[in-house]
Amino acid sequence: MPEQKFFWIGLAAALIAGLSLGLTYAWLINPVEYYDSDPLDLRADLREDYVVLVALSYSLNGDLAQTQTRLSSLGQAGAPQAIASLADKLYRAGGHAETVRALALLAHDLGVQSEAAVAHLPTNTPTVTPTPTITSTPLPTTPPTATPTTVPTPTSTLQATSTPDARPPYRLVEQRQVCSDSDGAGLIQIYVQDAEGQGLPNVEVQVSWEGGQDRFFSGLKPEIDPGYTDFQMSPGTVYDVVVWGMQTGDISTEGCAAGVASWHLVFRRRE
Amino acid sequence: MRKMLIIALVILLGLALGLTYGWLVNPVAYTDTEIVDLKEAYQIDYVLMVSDAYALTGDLDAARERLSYLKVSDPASIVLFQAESALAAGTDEAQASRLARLAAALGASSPAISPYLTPTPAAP
Repeated sequence: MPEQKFFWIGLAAALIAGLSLGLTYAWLINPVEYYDSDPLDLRADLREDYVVLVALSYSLNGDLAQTQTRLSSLGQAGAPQAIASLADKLYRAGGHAETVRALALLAHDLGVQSEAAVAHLPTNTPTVTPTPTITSTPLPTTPPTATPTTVPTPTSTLQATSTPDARPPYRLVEQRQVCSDSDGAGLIQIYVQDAEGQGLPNVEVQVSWEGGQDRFFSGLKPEIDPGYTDFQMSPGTVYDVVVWGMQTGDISTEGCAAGVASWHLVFRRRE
Repeated sequence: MRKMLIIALVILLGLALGLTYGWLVNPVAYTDTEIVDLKEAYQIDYVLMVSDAYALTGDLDAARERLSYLKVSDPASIVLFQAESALAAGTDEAQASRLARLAAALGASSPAISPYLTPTPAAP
């Protein structure tokens, strides 16, 4: 009888030993490896940077559908509230202005306001739908480029087609530093375009710096491009450029290993 | 002798159960993966976004650091390849142009992308 008892104990011990060996091998020595993971599984800092990239890309191309697809792969980190929180976190930490602005814009466009948005996005930006369908006279808030062409008929019901939208009607599609020693060095070269990428004249551009600002319009040099204008920077001054609420900053003549920095900015009207 | 055989079989049974549980039922969950572990489609999209970020901020160091997460010996060639593929596909020229400029900034070039690297005409 004792021998039988020892046998069962030995059997149980053998099972436990086998299980332990199996689990040790499966979990520690040769665990399952995932090569094809999703952004959701990224390390926290990489996931955060991934969200930043999504926001910067959105700031550039304005493609909300593509952005939402990207965000869906990030799980909770891609939720609008999480993006707003990240914008605020970087804003308070003194993060790169362009990054904070991009995150704030994305959060805003997804329906969540943030502290960073208040600081970086224009408030009450006047916008209208790009193609007014029924208008009698131009609304005071219509950008100078909108030229109503529809003649209202007596039977038409006058209806403002402007929609409340705090999103800037223009987006920055390109911001590029050009290093040069030529005559054009130190210029902020600004191209304003319509939704199709054609040069758009008569759009107000605002350039500001510590202690001053200047306002002028696109199209002042039509021999270069119908929507072109430029501004000569002074060395050591940092500038912000705004086109209808779309702002970009940290622009200066610094940053070139050789030569003087110029900047090539392209603002394109949203569709 | 027979009892020893039974015990050995039970050990093997335990081993099999342990492996099944550890590999299939409850495998090690990797929650802290890196960019290099992403699916290929996500890695391609990642390079696109890095080129967008570079176009917007002009921060080449940040672009280099981000591309280093791909853990390839020559990230510039990856960007160049994507730029050429995008140009060949002809779907989004602006995107292809941004990739081309990042590739060039990283020191890669090819005849296919050179037309997209024309310096901006300076103001008179």
